[in-house]
Amino acid sequence: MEGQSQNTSSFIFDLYSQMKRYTLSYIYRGDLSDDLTSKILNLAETTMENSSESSSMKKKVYFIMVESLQNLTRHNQVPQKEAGDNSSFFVIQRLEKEYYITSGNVVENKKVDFLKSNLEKINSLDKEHLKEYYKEMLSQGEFSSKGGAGLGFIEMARKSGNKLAYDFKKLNDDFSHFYFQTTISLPESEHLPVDENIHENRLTWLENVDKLILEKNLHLIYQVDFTQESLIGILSMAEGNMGSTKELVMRKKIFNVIVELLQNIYKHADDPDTTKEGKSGIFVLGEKNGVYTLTTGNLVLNNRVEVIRKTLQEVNDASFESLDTLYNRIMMADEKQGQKGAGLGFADIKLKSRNNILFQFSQINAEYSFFEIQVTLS
Amino acid sequence: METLRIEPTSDTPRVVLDASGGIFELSERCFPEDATQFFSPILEWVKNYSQSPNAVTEFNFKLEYYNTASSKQLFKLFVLLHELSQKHQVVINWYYSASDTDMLSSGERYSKLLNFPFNMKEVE
Repeated sequence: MEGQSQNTSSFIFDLYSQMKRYTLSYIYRGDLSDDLTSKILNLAETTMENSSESSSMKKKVYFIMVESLQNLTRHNQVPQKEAGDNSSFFVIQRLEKEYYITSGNVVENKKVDFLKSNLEKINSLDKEHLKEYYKEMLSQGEFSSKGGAGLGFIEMARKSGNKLAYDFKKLNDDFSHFYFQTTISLPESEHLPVDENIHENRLTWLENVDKLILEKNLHLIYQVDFTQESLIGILSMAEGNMGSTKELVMRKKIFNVIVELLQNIYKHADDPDTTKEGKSGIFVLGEKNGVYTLTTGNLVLNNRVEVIRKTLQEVNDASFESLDTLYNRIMMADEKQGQKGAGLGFADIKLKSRNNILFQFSQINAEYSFFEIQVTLS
Repeated sequence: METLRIEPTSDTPRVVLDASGGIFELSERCFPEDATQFFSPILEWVKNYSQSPNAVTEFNFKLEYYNTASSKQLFKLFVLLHELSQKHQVVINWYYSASDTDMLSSGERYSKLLNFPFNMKEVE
C-alpha cells in the first residue's frame, strides 16, 4: 500500500483475482453465537432474495445453509479453550454451475475415523438407499450423541443430490480441522459459461484460503455485487461479530467506516458489467487484539486513478486540524458544480480512525485498475 | 401546516416535523442510499414552515449515526434553520451519547461553521 508496506494488500488482490469467477463468495471465520448465526442467515437470505434464482433453488440453498450452521453450533463439542474463539468456518459461494456451502469446525482426532466412515457410507448410497438409511438412523435416535455427526449429513446429501466433500487437517495430537462441503447444482438454464482452464479442487482451495484467514486474523471475506442491501447485511453481521467489543465508541467507528467504504464502492466503483444492479467488489474484516482492519477492493477506470490518488493523498497529507477545514470545504461545496462531495468520505474515515488511509492501485488491463483501501482502527 | 412523519428503517431516521404540536425531531440512524433524495422533502418542509413559523422552534437532533452524504444535507438544513433564527427564536438540541465524542464534535462542527449556538445534550 502507498506510504506503508502492508502484506494484506496483495492477499486481497490475489483473492479477488481468484474469486472473480464467483458471482458470490461469503467466507466467515469466528465465533458462532446463535445471534450471529441468524445474522449470517439474514445476510445470505438478502443476497439470495436479490439474486435471480428460482424459489425452489433458494429454498434448497437456504435449507442446506441452516443445516450446515446447525451442524457447527450443535455438534462443535470441543471445549472453547481448545478450539479458540474463532472455531467456526462458514462459506457460501456461487460458481457458474453450482452453489457450494462449506463449513469447518474443530473435532477430536479420535472421532475422525468415525466421521470418515460415516461420510463414506453416505456417499456410497444412491437416492433410494439414502432414504432407507435416513429412516434407520432416525429410529436409532442415539446416532448423534455417539459421533457428533447427525442426520444432518444424510439430509444434506439427499437435498443436494450430490456427493459430500470433506477433509480433515490435523491441528495437533488431539484435534483436527474438519471441512465439509455440499454442492448444489443449478438448473441448466441458469448456467453461466465455464472457463474450462480452471479445474482446481474447490475444497482444497478454500482450505488454503482458511489457512491465510487464520494467519492474518480475518473474520469475513465478502465478494459480491455491492448494493445498499448488502451493506445493511454486513453492518448487522459486523455488529454481531463485535458483540464482545465492549466499547461503544469502537463499534460506532467501525460501523461508520464500513458505511463510507461500501457506499464508496456501490456509488463510485466502475464495473465492466453495467447491466446489473450493484458493483462488483470485495470487503475484508480482520481483528487482532482489539485492532480492526477493514479493507475493500473494487475496479476503477484507469483514467480515474490519478484523480482518486490525488484526493486520497490530499487527505493523508493533511494534519487533523487542516483535515477539519478540508471536510468543511467539501461539505459546503455546491453539488451542482460537479463537486459531488469527492473526498468527504475519505476525510471522514481519517477523522474517525485517526489513521492515514492505506491505498493501492494495480492495473489489470488496458481499461481497469484494482483499487484497494485499508483502514485500521484501534 | 401538514405534519411530515417518516418512520425509521435500518438506514433512514425517524422524522417528525409537526408545526401544530411543536415537535421537530430527527432520530436514529441515517445513511440512505440517496441522501439528497431522502432529505429533499425535509428541506422543502422547513422552507415552507419558515414562511409562517411558530414563535419558538425547538429542533431535536437525536441521531445515533449519519454518513458523509447526509452530513451535506444536514448542513443545508442548518443553513435554513439559521436563517429562520435571524427573525424568530430557534433552539437546536444536539443529543450525543456520553462516550461518543465523534457525535459531539460533529454537532460542534455545524455550530461553529454557522456561528449558531447549539444546546449540546449528553445522554447515557
